[in-house]
Amino acid sequence: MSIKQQFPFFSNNPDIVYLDSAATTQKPNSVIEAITQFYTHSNANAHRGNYTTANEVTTKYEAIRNKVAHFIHAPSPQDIIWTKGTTDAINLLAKAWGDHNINPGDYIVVLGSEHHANFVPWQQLAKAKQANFKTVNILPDGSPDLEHYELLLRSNPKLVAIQHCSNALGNIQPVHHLLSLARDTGATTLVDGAQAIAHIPVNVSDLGCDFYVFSAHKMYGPMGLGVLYISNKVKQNIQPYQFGGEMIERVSIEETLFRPIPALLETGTQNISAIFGLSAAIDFIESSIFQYALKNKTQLFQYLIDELKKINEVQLFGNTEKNIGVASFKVLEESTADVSALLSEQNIAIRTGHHCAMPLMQALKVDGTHRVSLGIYNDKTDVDRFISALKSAIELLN
Amino acid sequence: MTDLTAQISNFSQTLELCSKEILVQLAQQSSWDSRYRTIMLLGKKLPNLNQEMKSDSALVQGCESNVWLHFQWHNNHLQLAASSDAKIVKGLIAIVLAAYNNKTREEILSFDIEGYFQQLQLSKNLSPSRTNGLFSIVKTIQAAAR
Repeated sequence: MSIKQQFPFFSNNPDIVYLDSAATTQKPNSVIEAITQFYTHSNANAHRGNYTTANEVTTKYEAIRNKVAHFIHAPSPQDIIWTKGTTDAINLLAKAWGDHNINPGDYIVVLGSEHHANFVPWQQLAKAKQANFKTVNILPDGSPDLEHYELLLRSNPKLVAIQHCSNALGNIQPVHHLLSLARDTGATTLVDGAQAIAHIPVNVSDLGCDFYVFSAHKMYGPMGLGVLYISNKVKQNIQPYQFGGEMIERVSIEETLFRPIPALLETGTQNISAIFGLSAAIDFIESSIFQYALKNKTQLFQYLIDELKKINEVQLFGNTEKNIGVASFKVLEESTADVSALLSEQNIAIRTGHHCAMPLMQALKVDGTHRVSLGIYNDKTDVDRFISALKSAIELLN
Repeated sequence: MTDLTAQISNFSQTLELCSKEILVQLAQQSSWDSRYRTIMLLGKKLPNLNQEMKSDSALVQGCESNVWLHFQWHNNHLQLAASSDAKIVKGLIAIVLAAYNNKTREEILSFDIEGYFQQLQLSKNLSPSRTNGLFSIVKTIQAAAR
């Protein structure tokens, strides 16, 4: 059985060439079944009831937290916080950490290639706190200008928030190097791992970052669930940002005693069915069939790049050597809207636009690009159909 | 008469597009690519907008490509001038202008734009949906006629 056959989306949509996995990945049967199983067999709230089903859910729920910790090599399951997604996690940090740690005159540094989700929350926080928001210049291939980065670090920033991989270009950024330099200045560090998590092994202990965030839906798991890793050493700097049930130790009319992280940041009922789905997604990623297909995906990406380079009218962006499988390109002399309409007409599902990274597009001096992003299920036929559709589009527009 | 008024008037009067002919023309196309070719050829019938007419204030919001739209009333008829830097969008603009240019308020408001697009047999991503700029153009024109 091919890995593609594990994804019902493809048998339900045989005509669609899905090359938009950076936006969201399709879900394998195992993930869909895990969610259904939860609702059909085990639906109860976690950490609430004291009957058998509720206890079983709580046990499994905490076991999955542990599984996620192992998956990203976090020292403890208590370092793992459930969120709604990457964007939610970063906004949570801007409140729960940023509000209490960023002061007037402080510096916040991000890369110029960040997704808006790791850009705007910090820009707005800096504005509110009269702090300085600085972006690292981007080189023509989409990688950060290291000299400029080191220059910005001389201001001893309170926070360095960087992407692991670029969502618009697929570049794998030199995060180890960036983090090690940031640590030397004493900055608190955040890595946006939304685009990395499905493609490269993530080891937060090895990275040595203080925060790492990602979404389940970009790693073959369900939508509406994200993970926030918080290193032990910064936990004391975090205050709750929402109040309600399950986060408290004791409440009286006079005062409330809070429970420690993760409970502190997880008030209200969590997305438990999605957490069960994420568990299945991690099993899928750790399976041998996935790991084998991952190697094929690297070759398929090379093939895609080679084929794109053969088309004279195509201008490629980004670093195609250190890349998670994203080809970002523009057809010279043609509007992206035209190319996009003609590809869509031929059932090619790709993303066109600024990819929520407008500052990066400004640095690259383009309004937008077409982004082809590979998932574990894509095969040579998909790439061939896409290339042939692109050639037809170019011919038609000429 | 200001320069811009004259330019819009000039654009509007030189347009020779007829919605009924467009329907016939597109119905004759049997494949998706020939339909697109026809649409782009219709776009070529639009006179060029000069730099002044391509002003930011004339940009229609909600379009993936740049779309400029001007309109004014002349003897109870709506004069339209519009274009885009994208070829297909420009063709679609020609199709919309064929329906609305130099028409009275009553004609504009009674025109069945959805039925028109259905007859054109364009795919979903070309019909005036909320997600593309065509919707904004149609809404702007309809609002002008109210």
